[in-house]
Amino acid sequence: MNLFQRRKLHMVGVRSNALEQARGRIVLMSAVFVCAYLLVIARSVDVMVLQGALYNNEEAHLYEAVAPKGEAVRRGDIVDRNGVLLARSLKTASLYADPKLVTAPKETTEALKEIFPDLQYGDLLQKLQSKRRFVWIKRNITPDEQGEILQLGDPGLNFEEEDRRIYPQGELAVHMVGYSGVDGQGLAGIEGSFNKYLDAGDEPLALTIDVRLQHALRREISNSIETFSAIGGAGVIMDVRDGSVLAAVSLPDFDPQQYGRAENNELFNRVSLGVYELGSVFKIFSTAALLEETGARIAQKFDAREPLRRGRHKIRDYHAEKRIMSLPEVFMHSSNIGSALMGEMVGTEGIKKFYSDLGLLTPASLEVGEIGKPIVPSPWRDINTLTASYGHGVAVSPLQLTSAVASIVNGGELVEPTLILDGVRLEKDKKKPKQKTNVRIISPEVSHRMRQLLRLTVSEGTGKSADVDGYLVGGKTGTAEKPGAGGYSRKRLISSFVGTFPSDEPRYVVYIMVDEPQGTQESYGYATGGWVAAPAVKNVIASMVSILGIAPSKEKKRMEGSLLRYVKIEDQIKQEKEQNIAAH
Amino acid sequence: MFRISGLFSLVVTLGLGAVLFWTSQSVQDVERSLSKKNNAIEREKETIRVLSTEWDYLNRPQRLERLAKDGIGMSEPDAEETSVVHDISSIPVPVVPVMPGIKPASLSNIEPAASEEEVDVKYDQEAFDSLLESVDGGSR
Repeated sequence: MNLFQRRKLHMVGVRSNALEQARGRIVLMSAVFVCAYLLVIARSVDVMVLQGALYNNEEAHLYEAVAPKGEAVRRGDIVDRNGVLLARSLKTASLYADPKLVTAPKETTEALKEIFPDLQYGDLLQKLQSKRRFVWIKRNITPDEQGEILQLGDPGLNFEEEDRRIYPQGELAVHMVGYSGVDGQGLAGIEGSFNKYLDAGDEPLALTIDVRLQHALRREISNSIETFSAIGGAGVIMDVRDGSVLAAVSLPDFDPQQYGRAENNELFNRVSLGVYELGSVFKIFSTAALLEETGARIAQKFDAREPLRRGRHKIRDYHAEKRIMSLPEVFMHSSNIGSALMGEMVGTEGIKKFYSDLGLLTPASLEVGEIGKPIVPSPWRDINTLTASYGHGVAVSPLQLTSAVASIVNGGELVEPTLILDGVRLEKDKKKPKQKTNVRIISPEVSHRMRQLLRLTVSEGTGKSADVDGYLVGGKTGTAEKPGAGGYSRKRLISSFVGTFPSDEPRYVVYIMVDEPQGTQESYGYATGGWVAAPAVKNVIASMVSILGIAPSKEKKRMEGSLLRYVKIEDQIKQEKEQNIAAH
Repeated sequence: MFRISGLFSLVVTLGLGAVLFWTSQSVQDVERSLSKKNNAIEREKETIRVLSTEWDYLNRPQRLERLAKDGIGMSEPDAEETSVVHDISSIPVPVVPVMPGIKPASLSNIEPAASEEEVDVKYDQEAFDSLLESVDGGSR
């Protein structure tokens, strides 16, 4: 203020003017400098006092260092139909070293060796003494290990955060979910076929799988394999209305977290990639073809007294009844001769067309990459029609068979198997609305007949051990000899059972196949579908009804109904024999 | 004139400078706390991701089945005729296996049934009526 007061020293004339001007300039300059110094002081106070207090808090400094950045896109989750996680990417720390900053390589190596006993001392020391500025020590370590390394306090050891794919369900659904590599690239299953979609990190990809059913199916197949000392097995549970796969198991399997250690046998997907001659379960298709294409009556008789001779081929019955049988009897006793005769009645073109309509002659359309191509006789001769009628000479995957059976029992409309919930299908790595096929394979009447026949097989025929009281299980056994060097082998079997329930209005198809089971004392040496796979299917259905909460039907319905008139059941045959003896 | 206006403008400039400084400080403060919160949210999200993964890992059907078998003596469902429930009243009272030193938690002081006997639950009309009355405030 006194700066201005000084101006009261009054002068006059030219000198006073000049003095006045100079003084004005000095005052102005001083003011500018004073302001500048004030700014410097203010900034100093800001940095040292105001912000300094903040930075005293170390944690605050840590937060400051991590600048808010845009959300990094992470690989999307895969979940089951109930939202249970099947695959998810989690951040894990990976340890690397800058050898130039490692002060005491020997001591550090010893300390690291203690934390990671699986690392080699020599390798580690070599890495830490190298001239490079970046070497990986170990990728994807646990938080505990990270804590121990931080305790070492070595300035040369650092971490990089990386995403690691975690599979909480382990091996449970590994052949469907698949697995991915260290860099997050999907390598198999849904991980492989939906790689781009998952990388875009959209909402989770929901599969039709239900982990509870998946577990029940896996448990039963695994029990069968153990009981009958088999080499492997496969199974599918399918919703017959839309073909959604509720469970699909291929055994033996492996841990997707350590796919590198899995053997080829374990990596192999027997559900959709493996194709097998599945045997008598094919009689479902030849019988349906006969009813649909020729309009044959249920009372139609088939002579199964002698093996069937066509050219140099001879077709025998496994469970030989050696009598003239009606159509339901051929089905329930699983007569190869009868089924071959049915195929002959339909004709080669008819059978071929029917099988191809059911999708048995072309690869299945599941959303995983591992899809097997069916093996079809080429050229297809008339004898192939006969053998194909009871499931030999045509090899298909268990998945194809299951969806074909679903198409037969659901009222006759073709279903295509799918693994993706929300009615979307894979189309060039994009999700696209699923088209309902609306293709009719057989009439609703024939479909109903087939349900009756399947129920009859379980209540009176070869599939008795699959019956679950109150649930009207229908089904068909299948036992096929595996082809090998020098023809079919009687010792190496594919034993299977396909079940559907409830027979009056089927909702689910359950298929189980066991590869090369060996007979046991309890099974009297038998290793057929009825002994090996049917009880497993029964247990799966028992688990399913309690998991899904399906009530048993109250009254004891005789689903097979009018069919019984054309069938001689065991008691009847016994009675007749006794009457014959009495008459003599 | 110059004196007053000069004085005035200096004061205004200083005042504006101070306000500007204060504003920039508070903006920095807010940004700092925002980034702190954002980072905390990110950390929480990551923790939730890890925990929900662990939850699904611990709830694997295989594990639950083993625990149910070993811990509370449950067994896999089987399809024998006797084990399919056709009538709700035929469900046996749950049996808690006796384990040394462990008493089952119970809301009431009723001891759990010691055997798998069928318990005859009688419908008590009188008790039901008195319950209704107490709910209605005894007006009937």
